[in-house]
Amino acid sequence: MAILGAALTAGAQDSMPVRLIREQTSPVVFLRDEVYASPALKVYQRENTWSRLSASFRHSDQELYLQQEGSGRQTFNVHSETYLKPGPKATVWGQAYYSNEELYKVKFNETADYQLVYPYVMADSVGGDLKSETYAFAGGLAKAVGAYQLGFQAGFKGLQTYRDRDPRPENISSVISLGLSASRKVTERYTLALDLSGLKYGQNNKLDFVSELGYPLVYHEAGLGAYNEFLAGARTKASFQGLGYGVALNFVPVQYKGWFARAGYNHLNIGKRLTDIIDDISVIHENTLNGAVGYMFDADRRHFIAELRAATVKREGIEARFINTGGANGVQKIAEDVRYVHDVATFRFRTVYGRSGGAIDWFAGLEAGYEDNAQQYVMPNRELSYSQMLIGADITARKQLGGIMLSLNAKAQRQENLESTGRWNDVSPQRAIFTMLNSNFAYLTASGMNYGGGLRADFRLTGKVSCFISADAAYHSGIERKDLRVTTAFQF
Amino acid sequence: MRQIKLLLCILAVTGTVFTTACKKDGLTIRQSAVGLTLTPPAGLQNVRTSNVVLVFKESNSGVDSTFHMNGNTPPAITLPDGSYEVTLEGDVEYELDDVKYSRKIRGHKQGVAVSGGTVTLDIPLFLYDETAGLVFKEIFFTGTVTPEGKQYNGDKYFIIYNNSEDTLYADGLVIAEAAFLSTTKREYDPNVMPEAFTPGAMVMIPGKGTEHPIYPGKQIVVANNAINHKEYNPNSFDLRKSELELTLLGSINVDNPEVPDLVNMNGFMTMHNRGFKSYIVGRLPEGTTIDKYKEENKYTYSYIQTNGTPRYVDGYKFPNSWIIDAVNLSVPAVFEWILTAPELDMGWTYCGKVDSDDGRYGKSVRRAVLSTNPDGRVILKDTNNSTKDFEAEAKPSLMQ
Repeated sequence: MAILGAALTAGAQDSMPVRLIREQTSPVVFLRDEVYASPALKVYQRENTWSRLSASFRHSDQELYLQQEGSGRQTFNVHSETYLKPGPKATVWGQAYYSNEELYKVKFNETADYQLVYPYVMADSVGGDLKSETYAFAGGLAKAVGAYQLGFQAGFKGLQTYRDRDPRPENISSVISLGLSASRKVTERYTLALDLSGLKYGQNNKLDFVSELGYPLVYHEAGLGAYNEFLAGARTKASFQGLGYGVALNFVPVQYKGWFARAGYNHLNIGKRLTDIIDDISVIHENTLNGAVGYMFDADRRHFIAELRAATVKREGIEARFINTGGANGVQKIAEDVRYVHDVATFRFRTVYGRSGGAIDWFAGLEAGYEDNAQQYVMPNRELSYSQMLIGADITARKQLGGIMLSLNAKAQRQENLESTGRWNDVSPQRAIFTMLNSNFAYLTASGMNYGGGLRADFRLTGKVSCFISADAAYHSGIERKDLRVTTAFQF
Repeated sequence: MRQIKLLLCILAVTGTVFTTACKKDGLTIRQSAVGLTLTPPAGLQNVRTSNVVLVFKESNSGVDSTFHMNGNTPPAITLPDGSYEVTLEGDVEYELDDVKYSRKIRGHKQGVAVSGGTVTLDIPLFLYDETAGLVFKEIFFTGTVTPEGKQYNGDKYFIIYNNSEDTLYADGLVIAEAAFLSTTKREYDPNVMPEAFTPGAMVMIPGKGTEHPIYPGKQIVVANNAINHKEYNPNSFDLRKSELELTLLGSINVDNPEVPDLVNMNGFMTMHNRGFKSYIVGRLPEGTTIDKYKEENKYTYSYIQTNGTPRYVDGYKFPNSWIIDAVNLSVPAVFEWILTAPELDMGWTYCGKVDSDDGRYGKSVRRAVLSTNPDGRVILKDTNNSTKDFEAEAKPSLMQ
């Protein structure tokens, strides 16, 4: 409040960076940023340059949840970000952040980066709250060379998760990413960009117990609660190594007016090993195809964008079979098969129209989505599939009141499950895995209303430094999720 | 016009790829055909098997595949690729010296690799006899837990039971714990398992032949420390009425002078409290002293360590023909192999489903009851398959 008071005083004397704030709070720009995410298109992404240092607090909890990811989290985050054009031909961007999180009720997963390495996590039925710290930095540079824009970006993210009571995971993971891109104007109004990207992933996953009396079964999940009995028991050290690459083609207008399209392909391989076994016990192969088409214009204080996106992700889990020869070679791989498959197809349409420059700036958005999601495991044969759709509307209003620019947004969505199948007949209802599968199924197939809203207040603090404070809240009735976030930031 | 062509081109490529990618695949896994031959015990003539049940247990998935066979021709078998433990049980008729016999027959093989399309597998068969004299009735190896949550180990025990209709004597009985672990399979060289058990700790019941009678349907308790453990741990029990007690390591031994001690033949019998070892009860041949036994049955075995170098270990052989009863113990989550010839025991039992299971304390393995005679004598189940003969994770019989 003290900062806000100071700002009101200062704000009366100096004008705010109104153009920058309008750009940052525009739902049209949120969507447009992704159209120009390619390193070689960064030069077109924003009209205004900026640097920001922010801190945020977020708390979420929910009744239905994916057991492996937990029932919610509390996050403190410090984030710095910049987007600059130091010369007529160069664009520079970068970000760095630190997050300190507590994840609640994480069960059947003692491995970090679940969304990256699933289903091959180390698991037990005890679990508990987890602590997590993330360090990340990334940056890039784009430069005009003749008729081309050449872009380069690189990033690093390090994560550690741990728990101070049994079971005690201690996981350290890292992702190094690299992107190269080139674009060239194909007409006066349009440019075409080709992106190449790569990533390297690694994780050391360790689980300890200090209880003198013993500990529960530790196993290596293979999908839908299945696991290799041969590898279950006392194998509590695992490592993951992964490589990924991608290619994308972007066709975009250079002045925020016209059609745009994007098509991309990404491939990811991640292998998992256990101590004392030479071969990978499992390998993930994931292929992602994504595409988008849309239209935008930004003229005469009118702002519009419409985009239809589609993506398919096919994740195959190759699982090895082992034999214990008892000889010098010990445990040896004798067979491997694709036993787990996860197919996801998503389609999403979103459009936003807005007017600015009047007594009040406003934006209205509509969106609709469809998702088809199917997981299968073979021998034992299990299946979890569902399809769902989402329809929503949102509105954003913005007005300058003295030295403060206020932005208010609200949204409502309906998420509806259309069809669902859960089949794990071979699992005894007495087993904890049965409860886990049913709980995950209930979460994934829930229908309900999503409501959300937020308020942001921007004001000049001193000289070239401005500040904003924002608060957002959301509620999802289907899974009883409550989400609150407060952010404060300095910009210059 | 040019930009529209480019836009349409990107859309066409994307659409084609999406249409292809959205098709879902069915999952199939590789299978191999198993060519099976059964080798009857040597010396038998006109062997005819019947009512044979073959169980292939895949050790990665834990899935059992069962096949039935009537006659001598093995069934056509196709299995998912994997590592299998094969067990066979059935009836057999054979001739020996022109006399016809009908018996039970078994076969057992561990670590059978099935992969590559076709596999040939030979299973040696052996006869077995369900009648026996002294048997392990119960082994309590897990110990108990104090109210403070600490392990308490001095209250472990064996119960040896007379399952016959004759009075038998425990004098000279040898109880031995395996030198190997059922949770760590190694390729020991030489492999003596087909003809002998390799013991670690060995103890012998003292006596001149008739000092420790066990009447039909009766038992003796061999305690770790034959004391009232309730004085030290309210969760334990009173073992003062045990017939015999072990002599443990000095730091944990509490002697009850009123209870005879067993003779330590080799090391101290501490009893692995997670159940990684197997136990046998047997008897040295008439006139064989402990020293003579050790002298004549000493051997050196080796195995390759994980660093690739061989390790040589001095041990003893305890011939299978001297063994009266055997019980393999392990833990389901970490079991790798049995430590006896399958003729002695082709199964295994347990307390605790996972390694270091904190639920294993205060539980024992107890032999199941087969029947009760009209005179009240209980006959215990003894098919030389501990998986079927024993109740795993049972309440100890001496626990009130």
